[in-house]
Amino acid sequence: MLATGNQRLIERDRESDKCERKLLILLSVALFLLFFSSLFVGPVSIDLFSSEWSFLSESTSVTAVIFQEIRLPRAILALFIGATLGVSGAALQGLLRNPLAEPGVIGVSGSASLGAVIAFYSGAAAIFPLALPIGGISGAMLAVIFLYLLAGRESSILTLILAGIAVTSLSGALTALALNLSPNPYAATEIFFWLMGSLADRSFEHVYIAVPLMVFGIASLLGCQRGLDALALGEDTARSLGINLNHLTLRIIVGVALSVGAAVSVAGGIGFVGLVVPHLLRPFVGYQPGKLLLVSALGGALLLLLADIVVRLISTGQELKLGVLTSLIGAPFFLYLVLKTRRQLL
Amino acid sequence: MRDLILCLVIALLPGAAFSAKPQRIVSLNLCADQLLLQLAEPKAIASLTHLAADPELSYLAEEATNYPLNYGSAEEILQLDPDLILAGSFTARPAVAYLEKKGYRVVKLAIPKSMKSMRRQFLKVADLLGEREKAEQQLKEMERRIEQVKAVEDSERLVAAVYYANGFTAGKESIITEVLNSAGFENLSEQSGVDSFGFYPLEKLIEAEPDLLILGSYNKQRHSLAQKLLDHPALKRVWGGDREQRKQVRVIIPDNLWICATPVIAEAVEILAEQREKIVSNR
Repeated sequence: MLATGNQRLIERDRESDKCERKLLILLSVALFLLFFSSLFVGPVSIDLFSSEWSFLSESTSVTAVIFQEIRLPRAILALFIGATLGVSGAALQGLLRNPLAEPGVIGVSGSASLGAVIAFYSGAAAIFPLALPIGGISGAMLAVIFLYLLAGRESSILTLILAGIAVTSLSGALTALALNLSPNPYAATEIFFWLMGSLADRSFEHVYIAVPLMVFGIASLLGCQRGLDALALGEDTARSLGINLNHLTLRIIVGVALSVGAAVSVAGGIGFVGLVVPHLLRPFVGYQPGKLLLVSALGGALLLLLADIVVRLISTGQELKLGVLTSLIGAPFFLYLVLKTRRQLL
Repeated sequence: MRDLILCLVIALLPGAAFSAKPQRIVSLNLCADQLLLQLAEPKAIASLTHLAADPELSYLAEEATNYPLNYGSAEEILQLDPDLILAGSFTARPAVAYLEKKGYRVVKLAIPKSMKSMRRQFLKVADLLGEREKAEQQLKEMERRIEQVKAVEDSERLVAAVYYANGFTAGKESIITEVLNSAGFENLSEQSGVDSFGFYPLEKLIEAEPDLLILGSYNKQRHSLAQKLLDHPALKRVWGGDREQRKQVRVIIPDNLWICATPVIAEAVEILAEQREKIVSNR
């Protein structure tokens, strides 16, 4: 059993290694280019060539302020939030062995929004800035644990999705309630931000409070590569390969909660990135859930940077919410996946 | 319009056989609250909106707490059986439509977009209340205060921008522009193309670098993403605390001074003129 398991792993490794390396290079180059372009998109045009890059060092010019205080934190957040959503989707799909698992679909993002909303509108975040990501992480953690207890590794695809719908509806209702209870007249309309997500006018304050936590979560998830590859062969095989499944599960739960919770607390719930990206990249890594993690992180960052650029290009006046765009792409995709896995569902 | 006012004036002239002064006035709009508090006899006010008691929005919030407050529902208003209802053109619309249908006397107040229309509205309401003399006095006092500011004005053109929650700004067709002009500022929105009230991107505001940045004050201590925008580090860096190095100044003008067009805006003009002097002397 152990021998054949290892054999199969090694064979599949060889097949996909070359392809994977090419993919990683391609994704990294694209990511670099998009990150760079993202810095030059906005209502004010910063000239790429004639400014002699003075906006990087000089601190008094308006271009420097726009570049350093608005564009740069925005691109950094898009990068890490995209990576978070991509890798979380891939990890959840691997752990739950369910192609439809995704932080937004199963209610983790919604629950994180609720936690962040409570931390923000109660004023806790104004006194202690880290309260915001802590609120988001607590919400995300509650949702992941609840879903895992309810659906577990062995349940049907349908159970998990239905449980996710329940969590999403409940946290959505409680978010609306919390916003309505706020004495601030603006609060009620801000439900759009928390449900759809946006990166408009974020600042380095958000980078400082959220990115370290996201990095920690992403790293935790990327470390699950071997475990998830083994789990794909079945629980017994995984155990015989020396994988501690409880350990693996805990690591993924903590990784998803940390990274998604922190991401949502500064940008709202941006949906479907974690669903679309792993699915598109899966064939390129030989359908190995472990190898899918890193490429999904890169792919997620790529997709979100791209979406964030498009949102700025097509918006006149107040910006379109980022989640509107990702959902427009993601929801039909979700439907397609549902139809594809229909036989399993029934 | 003028004829109407004239008729009202005649009808309300003192010494007329009957007094047409309304006795149970209800307001359904924050700005109507302000007008009532400034002009009406206290015993004639039957109810004000709940916003009138919010010191951040309402200049006369303390006085407002002496009156019953309403939340703009028709049910509350019916109970009071008012003989005059003052409403805004855009507020409590379902209640207003219902009350009008019921035959109550409802007067809708538009949002004045200039000093001229503000004066006209102030006098119109005063006539409804039979308080024309009081109104003229207050307008005269306002003009005196604004004139005083204008006397010290010099020729240099400075630009000011108003920035509210969610990135909204007051445009050229608003009384804010005239207030700024009276204090010797040009409104940035005259360049930006915002008409009366509209969205203006943060980046554009920074690029324009107005000499004075005026931030909305409402609900500063309560929490919303909309108002968090006004705390953006980019704004602090351009209009930062380090005023020695920067020619720009950033101020918060209490919204209750100019959220409604009443003679109180003279105080806003004075504050702005003071800021202008500071900027000019720092140069």
